[in-house]
Parts: sequence; C-alpha cells; structure tokens
Amino acid sequence: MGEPILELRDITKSFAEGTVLNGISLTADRGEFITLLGSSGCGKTTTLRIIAGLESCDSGAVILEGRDVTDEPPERRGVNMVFQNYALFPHMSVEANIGYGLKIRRRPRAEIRKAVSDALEMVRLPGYERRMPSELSGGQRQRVAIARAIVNEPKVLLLDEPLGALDLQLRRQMQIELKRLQKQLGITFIYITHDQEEALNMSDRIAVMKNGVFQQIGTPSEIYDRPKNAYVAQFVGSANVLTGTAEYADGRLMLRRGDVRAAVTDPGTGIGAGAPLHVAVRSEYIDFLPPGTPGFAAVVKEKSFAAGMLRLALETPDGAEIIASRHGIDSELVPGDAVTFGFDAGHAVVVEAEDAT
Amino acid sequence: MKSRSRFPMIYLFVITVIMYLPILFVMIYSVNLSKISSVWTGFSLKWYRELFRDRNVGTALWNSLILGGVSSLAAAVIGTLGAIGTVRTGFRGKGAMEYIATLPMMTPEIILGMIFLAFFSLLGLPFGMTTLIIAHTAFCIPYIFMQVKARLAGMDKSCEEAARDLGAGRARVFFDITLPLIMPGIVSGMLLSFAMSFDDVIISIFVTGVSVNTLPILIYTQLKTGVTPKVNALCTLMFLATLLIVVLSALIGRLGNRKSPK
Amino acid sequence: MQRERRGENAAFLAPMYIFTVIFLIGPFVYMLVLSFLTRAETWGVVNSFTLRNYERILEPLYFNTFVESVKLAVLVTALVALFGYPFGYFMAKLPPKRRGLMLMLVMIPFYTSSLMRLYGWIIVLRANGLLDKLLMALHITSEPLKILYTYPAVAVGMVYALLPFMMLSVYSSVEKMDWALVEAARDMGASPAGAFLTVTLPLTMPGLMTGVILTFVPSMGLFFVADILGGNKIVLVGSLIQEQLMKVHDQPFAAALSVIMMLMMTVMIWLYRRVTGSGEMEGML
Repeated sequence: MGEPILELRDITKSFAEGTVLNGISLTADRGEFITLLGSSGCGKTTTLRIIAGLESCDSGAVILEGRDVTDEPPERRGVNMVFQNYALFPHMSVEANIGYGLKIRRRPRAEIRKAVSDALEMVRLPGYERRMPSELSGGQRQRVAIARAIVNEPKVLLLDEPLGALDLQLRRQMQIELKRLQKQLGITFIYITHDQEEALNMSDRIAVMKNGVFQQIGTPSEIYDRPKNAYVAQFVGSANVLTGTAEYADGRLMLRRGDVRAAVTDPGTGIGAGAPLHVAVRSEYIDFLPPGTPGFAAVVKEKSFAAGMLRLALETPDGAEIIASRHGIDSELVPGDAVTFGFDAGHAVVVEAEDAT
Repeated sequence: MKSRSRFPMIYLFVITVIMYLPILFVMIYSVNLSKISSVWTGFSLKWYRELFRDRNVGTALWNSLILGGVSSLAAAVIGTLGAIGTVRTGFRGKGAMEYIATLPMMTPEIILGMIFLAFFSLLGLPFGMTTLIIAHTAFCIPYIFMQVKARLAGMDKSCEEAARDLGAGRARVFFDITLPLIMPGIVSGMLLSFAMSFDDVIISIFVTGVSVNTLPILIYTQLKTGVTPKVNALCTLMFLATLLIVVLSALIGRLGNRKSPK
Repeated sequence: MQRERRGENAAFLAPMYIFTVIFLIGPFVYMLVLSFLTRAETWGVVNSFTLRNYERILEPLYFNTFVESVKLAVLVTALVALFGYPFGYFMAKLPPKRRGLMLMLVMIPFYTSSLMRLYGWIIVLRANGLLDKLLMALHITSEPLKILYTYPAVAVGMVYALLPFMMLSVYSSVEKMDWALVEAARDMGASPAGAFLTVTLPLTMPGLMTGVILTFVPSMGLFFVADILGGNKIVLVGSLIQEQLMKVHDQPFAAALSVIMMLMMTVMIWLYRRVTGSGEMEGML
C-alpha cells in the first residue's frame, strides 16, 4: 500500500454517560477513501472529532504525516471537516464561507478569489459566489461545505454523514461526485455513514464500528464476502446468522443444528468439533428444498415485498428468525406453510460470535 | 376547531383601542391651543415650543439619554459575556447565579428602589448619576442576558467548530462567528434596555440625588404639583421615542432570524 | 481544550458575577439585615438587633394598609387575568402576520412608562373630564361622577398598568401549545368548554401563573398610581415604603415592609416552580 498519512493509536474516550471509544487503531494511506460504518452511537462521530481536534482523547495518539498532533488545537492540524449539517456561516456569502480558511492564512485577495472560483467549479456551482447560505438548497449547501473544506488542500478530509440530509436520488448523485472529487484531488477521505450501501459503493476500505471498537477493517469485498463476525455479517450484508455446533465429515466443516447438518466454507479457523459455530448466509442464498430432502425445517411467518424482492420471514423450531429473499414477487408460499431450507456451502461463511464488548 | 365567531377579533380590537386611548388623548391635547385640557380650542404647537425653550427639560433629556445610553451599554457588555459564559460552562452554581442575575425582572420595582437606596447610602455613594447608572444597569442586565442566551441556544454550535477547523484561533472565532451571530440579540436587547431605562420612574426616584432630574422624574413631579400642557407634549415625545425603539428592536430581531438558515 | 476553556469561561462570567454579587446580592442581604436594625434618633441606623420593625407592621394602622393593599391586589390581579388571558389567547391564535403586529402593539405599552400611560387616564377620569362628558352627553348620568381620586380610579389604573405583563406571558404559553392535543380531546368527545378546561387551561397555566406573579405583588408597590389617580385617599404598602424612605427616613421599617413583600413574591415563585416544574418564567421578554 501507499505511504501512511494518518494513524490512530489505541484511542480511548469516555464521557460522563460512559465509554465511547474502546481502544481503536487505524492507519490511512495517502489518497485512500476510508469509511467508518456503524449505527448511531457506535463512536464514529467521536472518532472523527478526535481526528479533527474538536474533542480530546483520554489516551492514545493521533499521528498526522508522522507528527504527533494529539495535543494540537484544531486550527493547527491541517485537516478539514465537512459537518453533518454543513455548518455554513449564515452571515457570510458563499465566497466568504469558502475563502474563510485562506483568509485566515493571510493569502492575497486575488489568490483567494481564484481558489474560491476554482473550488466552486470543482463542486459544480460556478458563479455562486454572491449567494447567501439561506438562498441555497440542501444539495447546494452540501457542495459549498465540501468546497469550503477542499479549498484549503487538507491532508485529510473528514466527512461526517455528509449526505445524510439529502433525498435518495441526490444521495446517489453526490456519492458519484464525491468519489470523482476524491480521485481528482488525491486527498485522503475519512467518511462516516450508517448506510452500508454507501460504504460499499465508495470506499477503498471500510471500518465497521460497534460499541467503540472496530469490528473489522477491510476492503468492501472482504467485508461483504468474508465478514469477520456475526455483527459485520448482519450489518453489512443483512445476513442470517445460524448458530449450531461444529462437526467434521470427510475433512469438511459442517454446521449441525438438531439432527440436520450442512457443509459450510471454512476460512481456516481451525475450530474444534463440538464447539459452537456461527455461520452467515445472506438472504438471497437461502434455498427452499423439495419436501422430503434433508434440510432445516422452518415455518413461514411473514411475506412482504420490498424493492422488487419478495421477502419471507421464516422461523425455525428453536425460535431463530431466518430471512429468505427472491427476485420477483411470485411465490406460492403463504404464512403458516412448513418449509425445508438449505444453502450452498460456498455461500455459508463461518463468523465469530458477536463481540461481547 | 375553526370557529366562525368574530368575537376574538372584536375583543382584541376593543382592548387595544382602550389600551391606546389614554395615550391618544395625551397626544391630542399636546397640540391643543387651550391651557385647559378638556376643552379643544384649536391646533397649536405652542406647547412644544415652550417645551424646547425650557432649560429643565433640556437638562433632564440629556440626563435621560446619558443614563439610558451608559446603562444599556454596560448591561450589554456584562450581560452578553455572562450569557456566553453561562451557556458554555458546566459550573455547578450557575443555576443559582442565573436566577439572582435575572431577579430584577421579577422583583417589584419599589423593592429594587428601596434596596438600592439603602445599600448606596450604606456605601456612602453620593446620589446622582453614578447611583442611577448602577441601578439601571442592574435591571437592564436580565433583558440582554435573556436575549443573548436565547440567541446562543438557537445558534448552531458546529459553526464555531467549523471555523476552528478552518484554522481560526479561539479569539478569531469569537469575533468572526460568535459575535456576528448573536449581534441581533445584543442590539435588540440594548434597545429594549434603553427603553426601560428611559421610561423608568420608581427606581430613579429612589436613587437619584437632588440635583439630577431625568425626564420621567420631571413628569412625575409635574403631575403631582399641577399639570401644564407642556407635560402633554413631553409625554407625546417620549411615547414616540419608545415606539420607535420598540419597532426598531423588533425589526432587528426579525432580520437576525431571517438570516439563520433554520 | 478543556483547560483553556475553563479560564476563558471564568473571564466571560466574571463581570456579571462580580456585578451581581456586589450590586444585587449585597443590597438584598442588606435589606434583610436592615430590617432587624434600629432606627437612629435623627438620621440613619443604629447597629442593634430588634424585632420592632416587624412588630410595627402588626399595628392596626399599618396592618390595615397591608390588608387593604392585598385586597386591592387580589381585585386587580383577578381583573388583569380576566381581561388579559383571553387577549393573550386570541392573540396567539391570530395568523402569523397579524400576530406579529399585535405583539408589537402590546410591546409598545409594555415598554412605555406606566406613568405616562396613566397620565392619559387623568384626562379621561377627572371631574368634567372626557368620561363625565361622554356619560352626560348620552344622558346616562346627569352630573359628573368624579371618578378621579377614588378607589375605582386606582383599580382601573393598576389594571391598565399591569395588563401587558399578563397578555405577554399568556401569549407565549398559548403560542407554544400543541393544538393537536385539543383536537384529540375534542375527538374523544370533549365539548369545546370541556377541552378548554381539561387541556388548554392546564397547558397554559405557566403563562397565567407568570402573569399573576408579575401582577399581584408588584401591584402593592405601584405607589405612584395611588398618588396620581387616588389622591391621598388610598395608601398601598408601596406608598408606605416610599413615605418611610423619602419623608420619615426610617430605613429599617421600610426594609421590613420590603422583606415581607419579597417573601410573598418568593412564595409565589416557589409555588410556580412546584406547579410547573420549571425554573424558566413564561414569556419574560
């Protein structure tokens, strides 16, 4: 990989309400797009604010370009942030907003002017200099906020759910534009979102976060195809996690539930026979088997349609809920029907149990 | 819930008219030629002319302006800083301090006048402009404090953070971001404070010395000793000044609201 | 960042805290102390403890004044609530544009000296003044009523002076109200009056109570109303305090009277906090 630009070393942070970060470490390379993915309250915003210097950490260190900036105030870090609600200065024009950072660095007026107009060009809002933030739409404010940050050529750009307030269509469009911008500028992006689709679309690497701990850091395909634990599997791939005991047959790892067992993919965990085993299978890979074939028994509980998919909620005799989804909307199954299901060993990934922390 | 009744409108109208009627009479009689205020003999500005020629009125006006100006300015500085500090700090006693600082809003004026009179004579302060300014500053602070606090509460904290993130030091953030954003609150609070100070009678009577008259004190003494139509003119002018200040303050307040994107 | 903040906050708070301690806590505490001191023979006070000032309040002369003043305050507060509550209520239900104008129309008298506003009433109420002329012209009365310098004149003046406080505090309470709650009550079968009594009134109680607090005790202090509209006939606690301070120069007794008034005020504020569970007074701006 490239040359590291940002390093977080074992950072912890507690507020009065409890621990928010529980020893997180991360290295970002120059030009890399890293996404911190997690549901609200997982500590991702706090992480970003610690990198920006808006929050102090209890222990650990923030290293920027080899320099320890843990105790530096935010104005001396050379990173910039795009705030969730944009935080545009309401009393300043678009030009004054974008030029603010340069003005503080006492750049000549002509240079600021040029840089502002270039930045507006870059976010596709040319000629908007004289507008006030209150005269802009949500998407335009978003672009101005990005322009205001990138005009300073930060070492690292921090983005706190920048697309959270936009509607779905605009989001998709902005995702593409942000990615384009990031490639064009070659700046490292640390991006926060709770939307797994957004993370998978945009990132070079994703750090899945829960309870102040990175559950897994990896490329989108690593995260999606080989989730490390049950949480990652469920959060990123909306996968079913089946629990049972490990068994070996012909040297292959099998999942046993009751008197049924099924082959799974063994990533080389070296798990012992008889030990509890967790297997992630995404909903589209749950297969219905003809009656009489060996397989796991379940009852259809609910049938619904979402985004062109048929979604069936099944319940196994031991009370586990399994979601199966199919393209198209035709299915003879109705709630109350007994079914037998199985899965292809290639799509059943062994994962660790969810972290207790 | 949509009631067709016209009663609410009529009620509001009638009460408002009654509220303004006495003021209207004063204004009408201020341009009455006759010296007897219940008889209308014709339009004249002679009472205004006499008013402007009156030395005492001139001095009292000057005193009132100085008093209102200085105490609203002092209150603006103290109240604004106090509001910022209060919003930012987690200091335990701040609730109690806030309560005491805003106490003048809820204390009957006569008690404020009484305690200031007693306390200033305990300290041996000479009664006059100084004591007036201290007392007026005390009752103006809550107005500024509440206005600025409300502004700060409505302000987006991330604006200040964004400025720091863009390279501004703490002092710079204060002057570039915080102060401009709360300015409408400060200005409208100051205008209202000025109006309160400019019209105050009770507290002023207690804490002024023999030598310093303000306009309201002048009016009070005249009302007690016998009214000349000049008082009509003076009251009219003071009412118009208050009206102007309140309207201005409302306009500035609204201007500030429109600017913030929320 | 925490450490630098603390010093800065202290610098922000210092002016207000210092001013408050010296010029508010100081005077209030001194009032309390003063009320237990003895008046000097000629001028000033002597530092000897006494309960005499409080005992004096119980003397018939002063006690009657107190009782009369409280009676008047009850009457005035009731009238202010009666006229002010509907006003604030209707005002809050106006469409936003008209509401702003109406609010301004109430703010103007609120910030105008009540002295000046009362002066107009002299013109109206005096013998052979506008009211008398109007009534006689309409043949309702045959001779001047001479209302000025009577009890009703003082009551009218006080209601008039204090009305804006009630209007504004009720207004801010009603404006904040969630009307869906009233609709829900109606939906569940409450009559308009029932919905008002069970939903609207309890929800706007903070505004009404603030109005009462800002009317009741302060009305006992409006000595200049009694002065101007009541001649020398009506004596309020406020008039007593003013007289003790400005004419008799008996500061300790004036302090004792003030302490009692302040106690009444404190009790009312305490009640407000108990009932509403909040420290913030409604519509204080």
